Amino acid sequence: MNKTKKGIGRSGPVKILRYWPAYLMLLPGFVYLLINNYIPMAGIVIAFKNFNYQLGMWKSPWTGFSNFEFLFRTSDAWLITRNTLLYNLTFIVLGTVLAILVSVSLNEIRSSAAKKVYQTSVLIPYLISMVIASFLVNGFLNSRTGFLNKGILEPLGMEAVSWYSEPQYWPFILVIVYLWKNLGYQVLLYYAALISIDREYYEAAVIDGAGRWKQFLHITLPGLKTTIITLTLLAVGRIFYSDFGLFYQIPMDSGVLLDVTNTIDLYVYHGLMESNNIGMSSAAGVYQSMVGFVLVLLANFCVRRLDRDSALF
Amino acid sequence: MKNRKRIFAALTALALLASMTSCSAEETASSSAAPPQQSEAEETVSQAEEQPVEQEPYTVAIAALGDASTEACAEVAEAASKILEEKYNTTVTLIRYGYLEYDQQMQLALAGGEKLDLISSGFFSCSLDSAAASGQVLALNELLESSSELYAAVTEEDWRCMQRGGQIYGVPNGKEHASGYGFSCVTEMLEQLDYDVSSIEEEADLEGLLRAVKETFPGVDPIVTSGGNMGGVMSYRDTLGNDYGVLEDCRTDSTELVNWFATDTYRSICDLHYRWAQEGLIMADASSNSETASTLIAAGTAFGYFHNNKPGIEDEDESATGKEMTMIPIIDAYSTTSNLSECWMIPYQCEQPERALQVLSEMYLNPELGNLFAYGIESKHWEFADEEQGLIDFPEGVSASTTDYSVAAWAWPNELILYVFGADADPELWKKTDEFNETAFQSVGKGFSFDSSSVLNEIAACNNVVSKYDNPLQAGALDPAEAIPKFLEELEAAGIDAIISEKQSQFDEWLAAQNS
Repeated sequence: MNKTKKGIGRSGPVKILRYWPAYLMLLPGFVYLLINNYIPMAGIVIAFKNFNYQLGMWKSPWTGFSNFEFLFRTSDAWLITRNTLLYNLTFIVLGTVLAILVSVSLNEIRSSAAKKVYQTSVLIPYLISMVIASFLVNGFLNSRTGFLNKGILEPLGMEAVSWYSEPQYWPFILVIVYLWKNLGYQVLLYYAALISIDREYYEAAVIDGAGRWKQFLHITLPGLKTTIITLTLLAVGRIFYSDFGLFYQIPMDSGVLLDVTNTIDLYVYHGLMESNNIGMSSAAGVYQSMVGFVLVLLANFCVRRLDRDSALF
Repeated sequence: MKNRKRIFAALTALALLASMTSCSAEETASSSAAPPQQSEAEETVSQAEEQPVEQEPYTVAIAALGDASTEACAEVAEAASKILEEKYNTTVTLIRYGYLEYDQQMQLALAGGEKLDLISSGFFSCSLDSAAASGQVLALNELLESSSELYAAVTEEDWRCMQRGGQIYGVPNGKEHASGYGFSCVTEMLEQLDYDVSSIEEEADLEGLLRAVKETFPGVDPIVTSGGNMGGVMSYRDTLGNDYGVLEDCRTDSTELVNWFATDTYRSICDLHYRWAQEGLIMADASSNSETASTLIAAGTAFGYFHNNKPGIEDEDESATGKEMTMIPIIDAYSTTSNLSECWMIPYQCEQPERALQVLSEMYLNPELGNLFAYGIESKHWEFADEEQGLIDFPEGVSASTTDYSVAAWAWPNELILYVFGADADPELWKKTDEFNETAFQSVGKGFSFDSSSVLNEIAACNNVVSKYDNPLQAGALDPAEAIPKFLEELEAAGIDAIISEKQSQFDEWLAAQNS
């Protein structure tokens, strides 16, 4: 205790001198961060330029905000923004709730062998590439050979559905596929937080006569609070990005479905695939990260108002 | 104790730092190696013009299409270097990428400024249009003056198709420069049906044949798509670069550009396909099918698909599907600017463009070098099937799927001077291709290219609307009566009229310049 106070009390240069090996150890990481994350930020200028390879980044002519225009040009601007935000919100809410449920149940399993099996099988979809996942989904939805049509609907005497041309089903299909694929990773994170909660709390609670639900509400949830807040804040920062593989591969790029599958990333892909315009695609990236940045600040501000200690900064 | 810990920490940190700096030191060494050569390059230019044999040694890095192993590429490059070293004191390196990754690999190499001197055009982002517009490739006008043989080997008209903003940016591949369209189908099934194909002149005439297929072969789709795409539009349209503002029928004299999706031609094609899809003549899920048509035909679940028609197409289809195929021609050959989209270009980072062009010219004109690049090493990657006729094929024990140097003659500068690949192929193929090029109908708009820089936003927005409607409409998945009006409305909101009027004014200007 005393030592740290002393450290803080001293002025900068002395502190650096005293702990110089620690600072030296910090240096490689710092340099890496600088090179990898900060210097490339200068590339933002490309979004405001008509980029020409022969002139390079600095000499290409400025174009103001005209690179951003295509994002806001049509009625699609509203559609892609709505889709991106709503899908991501659904993913955040459902993902968090389900991941906590699964990790709590995982924590209740006594047999360690069974625990390993469940843990692994929940995680495996996360490791599967979206392209392969899209063919797995196709195995279910193919209107001629798919399991849903051939194995369920037709034997039950119902009419087969042409899944890839019926937009109304896709918000559900996409959410299910997303959860199937990404749940495992979140479960792992929450599970790690769960096992670090001291067992003694639960024992004390049982003695006081608390049931499962009370235990969950008053011990588990508060124990997970920091993890939930951190993960949610991080997810909010990415709320304007969409998982390209999910929205492009899983619906097999079916044009008929675009009203419900189109997100910002997909829009940029369709719009610029042939023209290969670096300025316009950077503009889309800048727009996404700016909105993400503002949302993280806002979300963090709200968390700070509610509970100072849980805020990120 | 404490001291030792501190020293240990310091050492670890130092070791980490050292390993980092050694990495970056290597990098800077390799990147700084490039610039000094530039000044040498300028000196050699003047020398090169007088005495080509005494040029400074230079290495031309070539990137081409098609799968090939690194070893095979190195072997070919070594053999090619032997030929080129004698003549020009130039060596070459070669790298080939498969069709699916080529564009992306090229974008990386171009953005990273990797050593590259000659590249083939790709399919999407590495096209002449986008490469020229973003300054990824050099204008060749002045360079071509020093390469009169190459300049003379390509027609004036074809050079015009390589121009963007008055400058030539590519050397067009010597291959077929026109395209007809038709329906390619499995010969065996066609013979079993005993259907008279000669009566088929228009796309709609196919209906009887398709119905017969459906009745006789249940479980076989009469028409399939490739990756959701119908494969070809059965019309004489000239897109003049993109779908917005086209000549509806380039055989007429009309120079008025129209919205393709609002034309009667488009409507009637969509109506026809919609009816066919309802009847089950087009595969289910046609617009979201992720397989290629040739895979489906090879698997025996498909009868045929639409695509382009040219001399030797049936042999090409056979090698793609493994089945004997018959082409039913529907649209006669016609030639537009977009038929000359495959070309070779010199990227901006090339240090000595004149040396790259020298090599390209040799690849274009010298059959020995051309064969080497296109087919690989004799008796390893190919052997003569009939030397007199100039027919070659894979050697014993090698096939299209096992070779480590894939065959794509069309992707090289000039296939018309090469051997013909395939023991059963037509030895007259290149002669027929020449004739095909000469007899093909030439569109009024051939040679025109659209500078889209002032309407980029409109195009990006329209592209999105098209990706929503075009494939499903053409594949018959949407009812044209409902979908086309909505389609047109959204296109209008996306600004298609601005694109068309800009294109029309450029086109009128171009036409006036041609006539003067």
